Amino acid sequence: MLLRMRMPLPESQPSFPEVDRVIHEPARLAILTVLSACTGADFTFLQAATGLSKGNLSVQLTRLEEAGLVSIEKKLFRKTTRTTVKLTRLGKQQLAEYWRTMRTIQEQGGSLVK
Amino acid sequence: MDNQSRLTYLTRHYYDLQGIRTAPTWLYLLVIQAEPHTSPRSNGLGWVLVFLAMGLMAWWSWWAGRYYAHRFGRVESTWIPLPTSRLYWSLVMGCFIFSMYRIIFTSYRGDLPYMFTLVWLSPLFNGENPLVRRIYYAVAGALVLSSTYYLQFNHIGNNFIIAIQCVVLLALGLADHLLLMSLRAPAHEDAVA
Repeated sequence: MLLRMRMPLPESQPSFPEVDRVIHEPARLAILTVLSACTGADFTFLQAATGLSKGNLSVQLTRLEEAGLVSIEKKLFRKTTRTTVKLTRLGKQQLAEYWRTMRTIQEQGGSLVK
Repeated sequence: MDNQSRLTYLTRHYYDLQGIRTAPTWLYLLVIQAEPHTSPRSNGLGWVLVFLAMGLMAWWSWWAGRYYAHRFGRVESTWIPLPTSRLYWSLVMGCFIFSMYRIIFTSYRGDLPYMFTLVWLSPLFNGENPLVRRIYYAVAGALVLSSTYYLQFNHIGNNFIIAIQCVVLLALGLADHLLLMSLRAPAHEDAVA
């Protein structure tokens, strides 16, 4: 029989702010970082910059589009489809909010260590 | 450089780092210095060669743009990679006023190579650039400025000064291209839902 010892929790637990799960995932964060540095980027550039495979990039972009963070525009150019991805206004706000949250967590974490 | 900085830098400086786009311009100027018969001043054939070279340069620039778009994609951006350093703009303005003064009042054009060097040296003063890029621009700048001074001091022709500028700008273009290649992410991280 295993006896589990429980450490008593301190009375005042610091409450960390919630992190946006959609943005926090590394691949999606990389995509959003690229898009925040320009007006728009095409699929090939996003693939070259993030190193994601076509399939994975496509899945991540769909998730971001569903969340309303990016807009995807497909145009036919010389018999090929050119996909341009742009950050929406909501995307810009959410990304800025995400970085604010991360800074808060970093500051709180730093004060806990001290 | 962490991943966030790499992504931001690569996106912002994507067109700035497309070094091989301008290669034929420097090559053409280099050929003109080495072979005076291709100069438009010499004869009618010179002008034909000039127009041919300009056509070739336009074609190369278009082809290089297509190569980059095909290989690395396209970025829509309104951002211009200009240095924000006050020191840089003070130097440019100071050098411009000084060289204009000398051209107007003494007809001396020897300051123009320095002015031109200062213009293409702008990445050195842009804090966004990684250290490696600033170092190779600093080395190139030091090389060009010292050689220009040496050549002018010894009254050696302007052809050498222009030729050195062209060779250095060709090398810088290649270095920028290699930097762009190195900033691409290796294919990875597929196991994400």
